[in-house]
Amino acid sequence: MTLRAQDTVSVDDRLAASKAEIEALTQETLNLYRQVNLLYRIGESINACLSSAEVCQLVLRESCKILRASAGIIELDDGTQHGAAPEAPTSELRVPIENAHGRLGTVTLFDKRIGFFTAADEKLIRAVARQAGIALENNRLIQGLLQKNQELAQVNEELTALDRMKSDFVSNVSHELRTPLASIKGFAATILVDEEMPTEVVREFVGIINEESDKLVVIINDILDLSKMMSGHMKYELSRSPMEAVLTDVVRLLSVLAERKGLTLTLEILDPCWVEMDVNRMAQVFKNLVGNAIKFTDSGGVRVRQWTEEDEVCVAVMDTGEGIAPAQLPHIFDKFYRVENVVHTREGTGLGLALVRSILERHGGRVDVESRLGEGSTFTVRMPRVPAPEA
Amino acid sequence: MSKRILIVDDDTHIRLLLHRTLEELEGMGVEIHFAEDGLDGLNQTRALQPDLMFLDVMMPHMNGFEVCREVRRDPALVKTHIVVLTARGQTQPPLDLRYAPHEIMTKPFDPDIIVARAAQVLGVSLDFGF
Repeated sequence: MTLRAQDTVSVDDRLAASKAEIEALTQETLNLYRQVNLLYRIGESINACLSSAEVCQLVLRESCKILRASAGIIELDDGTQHGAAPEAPTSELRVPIENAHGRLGTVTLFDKRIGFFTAADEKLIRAVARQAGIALENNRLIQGLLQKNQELAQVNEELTALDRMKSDFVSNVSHELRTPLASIKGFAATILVDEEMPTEVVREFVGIINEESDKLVVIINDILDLSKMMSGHMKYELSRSPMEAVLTDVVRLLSVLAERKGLTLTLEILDPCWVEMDVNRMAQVFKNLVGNAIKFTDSGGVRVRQWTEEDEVCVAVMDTGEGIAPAQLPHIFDKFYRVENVVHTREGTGLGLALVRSILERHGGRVDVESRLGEGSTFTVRMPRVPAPEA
Repeated sequence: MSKRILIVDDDTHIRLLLHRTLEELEGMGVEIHFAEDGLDGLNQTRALQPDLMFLDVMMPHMNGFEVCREVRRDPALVKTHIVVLTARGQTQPPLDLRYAPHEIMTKPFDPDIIVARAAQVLGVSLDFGF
């Protein structure tokens, strides 16, 4: 067989063409490998990102690196922006960041070389942007969950505290009810057993039973009042009345208690004035405040002082008692709250100050407290004043 | 030496009631003493070394369980039998068994049971009238 020259050329040409084809294929394979590698790496690291800023920075860094682009920017529709556009770029490649819920923003890559980005590049960046879209959505969900979780933990904490207060309350109320009940039942049983008990002893014991029953009535009324207030069923009968009359009555009523403990109880009216109020409920407020002051004071005394400040009536109840620790102060008006160390030594249901605050709020007033341990406490009530009715 | 009971309660009426309830023991040579708060109760316990004490829980200065712990820790007072009379509901403070009272009774109490337990602890026999 003989070879012709033109045949030889043709073989060389075909050999060269094959070589070129192999090179192109190799290049394409390398490109594909690069892309797969990029997508894989981004997919892995994107899942570890804890914030949308981290996701965006990672996408920009990896995209620029793989396409050898000089810069990139991600603009999200919520107004946030990551990366920066260079001055006077000549090539630009922009693709949307999307997920199942819609568009989240765009990613744009830049370079100075003309016609730098290819169709293959665009395909690659679209794939990256899709991953970013999913990662951003996941991130949003996770952030939402974390926040919900935090909120739930806080609610849980509040409920636990309320539950503890409620069981303390049940325990305290139980004590307050059982103590008078022990006297009532005990004296009644004693009278029943002794058929020959002299009349004067029977009368003395019945007197005690009567007194202890009164105590029970007060406690039960407090509980009922609070439950009415909590459900909004408390009725108020408002009338224009002088503050002085309410305070004088309360002080007169409680001076017996103060005397019994050897305390002074004084009332100073600096500026008589009128308030639109339910007189009985207002008396309840000051019976509670003055009663507490007497209860927690063992020496010295209690002073009640009334004055005015602009359009407000102010009444301070000041004692020289044991005082309230700073940590306890913010809580003393909460329902069921009782100052910790007091629980085992002083009577009380922990309802009094909650009632006080609730009644004052219904009158458009408020109550503040200042206290120092060992020096005493001052409760100050403020309410809107009204002009005296025309005589 | 005569037997001694100490009643520790800040409520006048409860003291009177317990006194009345335990009165018949006085006829058998039992002395009855009173304290009006926790600290007073502890001081009197040390001074009198009573055979039996009835102890209220919620009292000024020292609560009943604190008094109880101090009494149980005192080797001189091992013979004092402690009955805590509590009016508290479900939540009892966790008890350290070494210093716990011998008995806990809940208010309102039954006077018959109080006097029967007292007689039993003191080892005196009651005249039930039959």
